[in-house]
Amino acid sequence: MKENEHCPRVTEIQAFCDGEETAAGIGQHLRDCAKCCSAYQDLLALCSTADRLSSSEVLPAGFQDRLQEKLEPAPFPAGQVAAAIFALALAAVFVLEPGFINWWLSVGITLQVSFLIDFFLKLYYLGHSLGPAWVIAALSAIVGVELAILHKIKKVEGYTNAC
Amino acid sequence: MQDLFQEMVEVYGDRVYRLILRYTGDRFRAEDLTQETFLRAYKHLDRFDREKPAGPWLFKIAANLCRNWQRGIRELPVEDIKALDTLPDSNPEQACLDKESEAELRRALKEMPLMYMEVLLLKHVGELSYAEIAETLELELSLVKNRLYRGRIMLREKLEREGR
Repeated sequence: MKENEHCPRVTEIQAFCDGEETAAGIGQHLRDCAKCCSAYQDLLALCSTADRLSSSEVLPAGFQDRLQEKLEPAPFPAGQVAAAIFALALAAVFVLEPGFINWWLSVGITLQVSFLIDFFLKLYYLGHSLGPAWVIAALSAIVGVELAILHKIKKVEGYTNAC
Repeated sequence: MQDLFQEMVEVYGDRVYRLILRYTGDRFRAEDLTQETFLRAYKHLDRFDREKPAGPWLFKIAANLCRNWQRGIRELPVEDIKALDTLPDSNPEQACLDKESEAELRRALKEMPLMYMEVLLLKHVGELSYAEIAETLELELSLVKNRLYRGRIMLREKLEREGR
Protein backbone atom coordinates (compact mmCIF):
# COMPACT_ATOMS: atom_id res chain seq x y z
CA MET A 1 0.00 0.00 0.00
CA LYS A 2 1.45 3.35 -0.99
CA GLU A 3 1.56 6.53 1.07
CA ASN A 4 -1.76 8.47 1.25
CA GLU A 5 -3.62 5.75 -0.59
CA HIS A 6 -6.44 4.35 1.57
CA CYS A 7 -4.71 5.65 4.68
CA PRO A 8 -6.76 4.86 7.79
CA ARG A 9 -8.02 7.64 10.01
CA VAL A 10 -5.89 8.57 12.96
CA THR A 11 -8.57 7.20 15.31
CA GLU A 12 -8.30 3.85 13.54
CA ILE A 13 -4.55 3.83 14.06
CA GLN A 14 -5.21 4.75 17.68
CA ALA A 15 -7.57 1.78 17.98
CA PHE A 16 -4.78 -0.43 16.62
CA CYS A 17 -2.42 0.98 19.28
CA ASP A 18 -4.98 0.23 21.96
CA GLY A 19 -5.42 -3.35 20.79
CA GLU A 20 -9.00 -2.74 19.70
CA GLU A 21 -10.63 -4.44 16.76
CA THR A 22 -9.59 -2.71 13.52
CA ALA A 23 -9.94 -3.20 9.79
CA ALA A 24 -7.90 -6.08 8.40
CA GLY A 25 -4.53 -5.16 6.92
CA ILE A 26 -3.93 -2.05 9.02
CA GLY A 27 -0.76 -3.53 10.50
CA GLN A 28 0.65 -4.17 7.05
CA HIS A 29 -0.32 -0.65 5.96
CA LEU A 30 1.52 0.85 8.94
CA ARG A 31 4.65 -1.00 7.86
CA ASP A 32 4.37 0.22 4.27
CA CYS A 33 3.18 3.82 4.67
CA ALA A 34 5.75 6.21 6.12
CA LYS A 35 3.16 8.85 7.02
CA CYS A 36 0.94 6.41 8.90
CA CYS A 37 3.97 4.80 10.50
CA SER A 38 4.96 8.20 11.84
CA ALA A 39 1.41 8.80 13.09
CA TYR A 40 1.52 5.38 14.74
CA GLN A 41 4.78 6.20 16.54
CA ASP A 42 3.31 9.50 17.68
CA LEU A 43 0.20 7.74 18.97
CA LEU A 44 2.30 5.20 20.87
CA ALA A 45 4.04 8.11 22.58
CA LEU A 46 0.66 9.69 23.33
CA CYS A 47 -0.62 6.46 24.86
CA SER A 48 2.53 6.14 26.91
CA THR A 49 2.06 9.67 28.27
CA ALA A 50 -1.57 8.98 29.12
CA ASP A 51 -0.54 5.73 30.82
CA ARG A 52 0.96 7.91 33.54
CA LEU A 53 -2.63 8.18 34.75
CA SER A 54 -2.69 4.51 35.69
CA SER A 55 -1.57 3.58 39.16
CA SER A 56 -1.04 0.58 41.36
CA GLU A 57 -3.28 1.83 44.16
CA VAL A 58 -5.41 -0.82 45.82
CA LEU A 59 -8.44 -0.58 48.05
CA PRO A 60 -7.53 0.39 51.61
CA ALA A 61 -7.19 -2.47 54.09
CA GLY A 62 -10.48 -3.42 55.71
CA PHE A 63 -12.58 -1.90 52.92
CA GLN A 64 -14.58 -5.07 52.37
CA ASP A 65 -15.33 -5.42 56.10
CA ARG A 66 -16.52 -1.82 56.31
CA LEU A 67 -18.65 -2.35 53.21
CA GLN A 68 -20.12 -5.51 54.67
CA GLU A 69 -21.04 -3.64 57.84
CA LYS A 70 -22.95 -1.08 55.79
CA LEU A 71 -24.72 -3.83 53.87
CA GLU A 72 -25.97 -5.47 57.05
CA PRO A 73 -27.95 -2.85 58.96
CA ALA A 74 -28.26 -3.26 62.72
CA PRO A 75 -31.16 -5.58 63.58
CA PHE A 76 -34.40 -3.90 64.60
CA PRO A 77 -34.50 -3.79 68.43
CA ALA A 78 -37.89 -5.48 68.60
CA GLY A 79 -37.49 -6.54 72.25
CA GLN A 80 -36.69 -3.06 73.48
CA VAL A 81 -39.48 -1.52 71.40
CA ALA A 82 -42.01 -4.05 72.72
CA ALA A 83 -40.86 -3.38 76.29
CA ALA A 84 -41.12 0.38 75.77
CA ILE A 85 -44.63 0.09 74.30
CA PHE A 86 -45.69 -2.14 77.18
CA ALA A 87 -44.25 0.32 79.71
CA LEU A 88 -45.97 3.22 77.96
CA ALA A 89 -49.28 1.37 77.87
CA LEU A 90 -48.94 0.47 81.53
CA ALA A 91 -48.12 4.05 82.44
CA ALA A 92 -51.03 5.30 80.34
CA VAL A 93 -53.43 2.93 82.06
CA PHE A 94 -52.12 3.91 85.44
CA VAL A 95 -52.29 7.64 84.73
CA LEU A 96 -55.62 7.61 82.93
CA GLU A 97 -57.48 5.15 85.19
CA PRO A 98 -55.79 4.56 88.53
CA GLY A 99 -58.58 2.27 89.71
CA PHE A 100 -58.09 -0.10 86.78
CA ILE A 101 -54.92 -1.62 88.25
CA ASN A 102 -56.74 -2.52 91.45
CA TRP A 103 -59.66 -3.92 89.46
CA TRP A 104 -57.30 -5.93 87.27
CA LEU A 105 -55.47 -7.40 90.25
CA SER A 106 -58.66 -8.36 92.07
CA VAL A 107 -61.10 -9.27 89.29
CA GLY A 108 -59.41 -9.16 85.87
CA ILE A 109 -56.76 -11.82 86.45
CA THR A 110 -59.30 -14.12 88.14
CA LEU A 111 -61.61 -13.73 85.17
CA GLN A 112 -58.82 -14.54 82.70
CA VAL A 113 -57.62 -17.53 84.69
CA SER A 114 -61.16 -18.87 85.08
CA PHE A 115 -61.65 -18.43 81.35
CA LEU A 116 -58.53 -20.52 80.66
CA ILE A 117 -59.59 -23.18 83.14
CA ASP A 118 -63.04 -23.30 81.52
CA PHE A 119 -61.46 -23.54 78.09
CA PHE A 120 -59.22 -26.48 78.98
CA LEU A 121 -62.03 -28.24 80.83
CA LYS A 122 -64.25 -27.90 77.78
CA LEU A 123 -61.45 -29.31 75.63
CA TYR A 124 -61.07 -32.19 78.06
CA TYR A 125 -64.81 -33.01 78.01
CA LEU A 126 -64.87 -32.63 74.25
CA GLY A 127 -61.97 -35.11 73.96
CA HIS A 128 -63.96 -37.61 76.03
CA SER A 129 -67.17 -37.17 74.08
CA LEU A 130 -65.42 -37.61 70.67
CA GLY A 131 -64.49 -40.97 69.25
CA PRO A 132 -60.77 -41.89 68.82
CA ALA A 133 -60.97 -41.29 65.04
CA TRP A 134 -62.06 -37.65 65.57
CA VAL A 135 -59.32 -37.06 68.12
CA ILE A 136 -56.67 -38.44 65.75
CA ALA A 137 -58.07 -36.36 62.88
CA ALA A 138 -58.03 -33.18 64.99
CA LEU A 139 -54.46 -33.87 66.18
CA SER A 140 -53.34 -34.55 62.60
CA ALA A 141 -54.85 -31.26 61.48
CA ILE A 142 -53.02 -29.42 64.27
CA VAL A 143 -49.73 -31.13 63.37
CA GLY A 144 -50.30 -30.24 59.68
CA VAL A 145 -50.90 -26.59 60.48
CA GLU A 146 -47.81 -26.54 62.70
CA LEU A 147 -45.65 -28.08 59.97
CA ALA A 148 -46.95 -25.53 57.45
CA ILE A 149 -46.11 -22.66 59.81
CA LEU A 150 -42.61 -24.05 60.48
CA HIS A 151 -42.02 -24.42 56.75
CA LYS A 152 -43.10 -20.82 56.17
CA ILE A 153 -40.83 -19.53 58.95
CA LYS A 154 -37.90 -21.49 57.53
CA LYS A 155 -38.47 -19.95 54.09
CA VAL A 156 -38.59 -16.42 55.52
CA GLU A 157 -35.41 -16.97 57.55
CA GLY A 158 -33.64 -18.42 54.52
CA TYR A 159 -34.51 -15.31 52.46
CA THR A 160 -33.26 -12.98 55.21
CA ASN A 161 -29.90 -14.78 55.41
CA ALA A 162 -29.49 -14.68 51.63
CA CYS A 163 -29.84 -10.89 51.65
CA MET B 1 -26.84 -12.60 44.60
CA GLN B 2 -24.37 -12.20 47.46
CA ASP B 3 -21.76 -14.17 45.49
CA LEU B 4 -22.26 -12.01 42.41
CA PHE B 5 -21.81 -8.86 44.46
CA GLN B 6 -18.74 -10.25 46.21
CA GLU B 7 -17.24 -11.07 42.80
CA MET B 8 -17.91 -7.51 41.60
CA VAL B 9 -16.06 -6.06 44.58
CA GLU B 10 -13.13 -8.43 44.11
CA VAL B 11 -12.81 -7.94 40.35
CA TYR B 12 -13.57 -4.23 40.03
CA GLY B 13 -12.95 -2.84 43.53
CA ASP B 14 -9.37 -1.70 42.96
CA ARG B 15 -10.09 -0.22 39.52
CA VAL B 16 -13.14 1.69 40.72
CA TYR B 17 -11.10 3.00 43.65
CA ARG B 18 -8.23 4.09 41.37
CA LEU B 19 -10.63 5.85 39.01
CA ILE B 20 -12.29 7.73 41.85
CA LEU B 21 -8.91 8.52 43.38
CA ARG B 22 -7.83 10.11 40.09
CA TYR B 23 -11.08 12.02 39.94
CA THR B 24 -11.00 13.31 43.48
CA GLY B 25 -7.32 13.23 44.38
CA ASP B 26 -8.33 12.43 47.94
CA ARG B 27 -7.85 8.96 49.44
CA PHE B 28 -10.53 9.35 52.10
CA ARG B 29 -13.04 10.75 49.65
CA ALA B 30 -12.12 8.04 47.15
CA GLU B 31 -12.77 5.30 49.69
CA ASP B 32 -16.02 6.95 50.65
CA LEU B 33 -17.23 7.22 47.07
CA THR B 34 -16.05 3.69 46.23
CA GLN B 35 -18.08 2.42 49.14
CA GLU B 36 -21.07 4.43 47.97
CA THR B 37 -20.65 3.03 44.45
CA PHE B 38 -20.85 -0.54 45.72
CA LEU B 39 -23.69 0.23 48.11
CA ARG B 40 -25.72 1.62 45.21
CA ALA B 41 -24.77 -1.34 43.06
CA TYR B 42 -25.97 -3.69 45.79
CA LYS B 43 -29.20 -1.79 46.19
CA HIS B 44 -29.95 -2.02 42.46
CA LEU B 45 -28.44 -5.44 41.82
CA ASP B 46 -31.78 -6.67 40.48
CA ARG B 47 -31.44 -4.16 37.60
CA PHE B 48 -28.06 -5.53 36.56
CA ASP B 49 -28.05 -7.64 33.42
CA ARG B 50 -25.98 -10.69 34.33
CA GLU B 51 -25.30 -11.43 30.68
CA LYS B 52 -23.15 -8.30 30.46
CA PRO B 53 -19.86 -7.48 32.18
CA ALA B 54 -20.28 -5.53 35.41
CA GLY B 55 -17.50 -3.02 34.63
CA PRO B 56 -19.47 -0.44 32.60
CA TRP B 57 -22.39 -0.61 35.03
CA LEU B 58 -20.17 -0.02 38.07
CA PHE B 59 -18.11 2.69 36.38
CA LYS B 60 -21.30 4.46 35.35
CA ILE B 61 -22.38 4.62 39.00
CA ALA B 62 -18.89 5.73 40.03
CA ALA B 63 -18.72 8.40 37.30
CA ASN B 64 -22.10 9.81 38.33
CA LEU B 65 -21.02 10.01 41.95
CA CYS B 66 -17.76 11.70 40.93
CA ARG B 67 -19.59 14.24 38.79
CA ASN B 68 -21.84 15.11 41.70
CA TRP B 69 -18.84 15.41 43.96
CA GLN B 70 -16.88 17.46 41.44
CA ARG B 71 -19.62 20.04 41.00
CA GLY B 72 -18.90 21.34 44.46
CA ILE B 73 -15.20 20.63 44.91
CA ARG B 74 -13.43 21.42 41.65
CA GLU B 75 -11.96 24.58 43.07
CA LEU B 76 -9.93 22.63 45.68
CA PRO B 77 -6.25 23.68 45.47
CA VAL B 78 -4.15 20.97 43.84
CA GLU B 79 -1.44 21.24 46.51
CA ASP B 80 -3.92 20.26 49.20
CA ILE B 81 -4.74 17.00 47.60
CA LYS B 82 -3.94 14.01 49.77
CA ALA B 83 -3.14 11.82 46.77
CA LEU B 84 0.23 13.55 46.77
CA ASP B 85 1.13 11.69 49.93
CA THR B 86 3.65 9.05 49.06
CA LEU B 87 4.04 5.62 50.50
CA PRO B 88 6.11 5.64 53.69
CA ASP B 89 8.60 3.05 52.51
CA SER B 90 9.64 4.82 49.29
CA ASN B 91 12.96 6.69 49.31
CA PRO B 92 12.72 10.48 49.83
CA GLU B 93 14.16 11.49 46.44
CA GLN B 94 11.81 9.20 44.53
CA ALA B 95 8.95 10.31 46.76
CA CYS B 96 9.67 13.93 45.86
CA LEU B 97 9.71 13.13 42.12
CA ASP B 98 6.53 11.09 42.40
CA LYS B 99 4.88 13.89 44.28
CA GLU B 100 5.81 16.42 41.62
CA SER B 101 4.71 14.10 38.84
CA GLU B 102 1.38 13.52 40.58
CA ALA B 103 0.90 17.25 41.06
CA GLU B 104 1.56 17.86 37.34
CA LEU B 105 -0.94 15.19 36.40
CA ARG B 106 -3.53 16.59 38.78
CA ARG B 107 -3.12 20.10 37.44
CA ALA B 108 -3.32 18.87 33.85
CA LEU B 109 -6.44 16.82 34.58
CA LYS B 110 -8.05 19.66 36.46
CA GLU B 111 -7.69 21.94 33.46
CA MET B 112 -9.22 19.42 31.07
CA PRO B 113 -12.88 19.50 30.11
CA LEU B 114 -14.78 16.77 31.92
CA MET B 115 -15.85 14.96 28.73
CA TYR B 116 -12.22 14.29 27.73
CA MET B 117 -11.05 13.58 31.24
CA GLU B 118 -13.72 10.92 31.79
CA VAL B 119 -12.85 9.01 28.63
CA LEU B 120 -9.15 9.16 29.47
CA LEU B 121 -9.69 7.91 33.00
CA LEU B 122 -12.00 5.11 31.93
CA LYS B 123 -9.42 3.97 29.38
CA HIS B 124 -6.19 4.35 31.32
CA VAL B 125 -7.35 3.86 34.89
CA GLY B 126 -10.52 1.80 34.49
CA GLU B 127 -8.88 -0.27 31.74
CA LEU B 128 -12.12 -0.44 29.78
CA SER B 129 -12.39 -1.18 26.07
CA TYR B 130 -13.84 1.39 23.65
CA ALA B 131 -17.17 -0.43 23.61
CA GLU B 132 -17.30 -0.52 27.40
CA ILE B 133 -16.49 3.20 27.63
CA ALA B 134 -19.25 3.90 25.10
CA GLU B 135 -21.67 1.88 27.24
CA THR B 136 -20.55 3.52 30.46
CA LEU B 137 -20.90 7.08 29.17
CA GLU B 138 -23.78 6.29 26.80
CA LEU B 139 -21.87 7.60 23.79
CA GLU B 140 -21.38 6.53 20.20
CA LEU B 141 -18.24 4.49 19.62
CA SER B 142 -16.89 7.06 17.14
CA LEU B 143 -17.32 9.79 19.75
CA VAL B 144 -15.34 7.74 22.26
CA LYS B 145 -12.50 7.35 19.76
CA ASN B 146 -12.46 11.07 19.01
CA ARG B 147 -12.62 12.12 22.63
CA LEU B 148 -9.88 9.70 23.56
CA TYR B 149 -7.65 11.04 20.80
CA ARG B 150 -8.31 14.69 21.62
CA GLY B 151 -8.01 13.96 25.34
CA ARG B 152 -4.61 12.35 24.92
CA ILE B 153 -3.37 15.28 22.81
CA MET B 154 -4.73 17.73 25.35
CA LEU B 155 -3.12 15.88 28.24
CA ARG B 156 0.26 15.85 26.50
CA GLU B 157 0.05 19.57 25.73
CA LYS B 158 -0.86 20.41 29.29
CA LEU B 159 1.90 18.23 30.71
CA GLU B 160 4.42 19.81 28.35
CA ARG B 161 3.28 23.24 29.47
CA GLU B 162 3.63 22.10 33.09
CA GLY B 163 7.14 20.85 32.40
CA ARG B 164 8.38 24.21 31.13
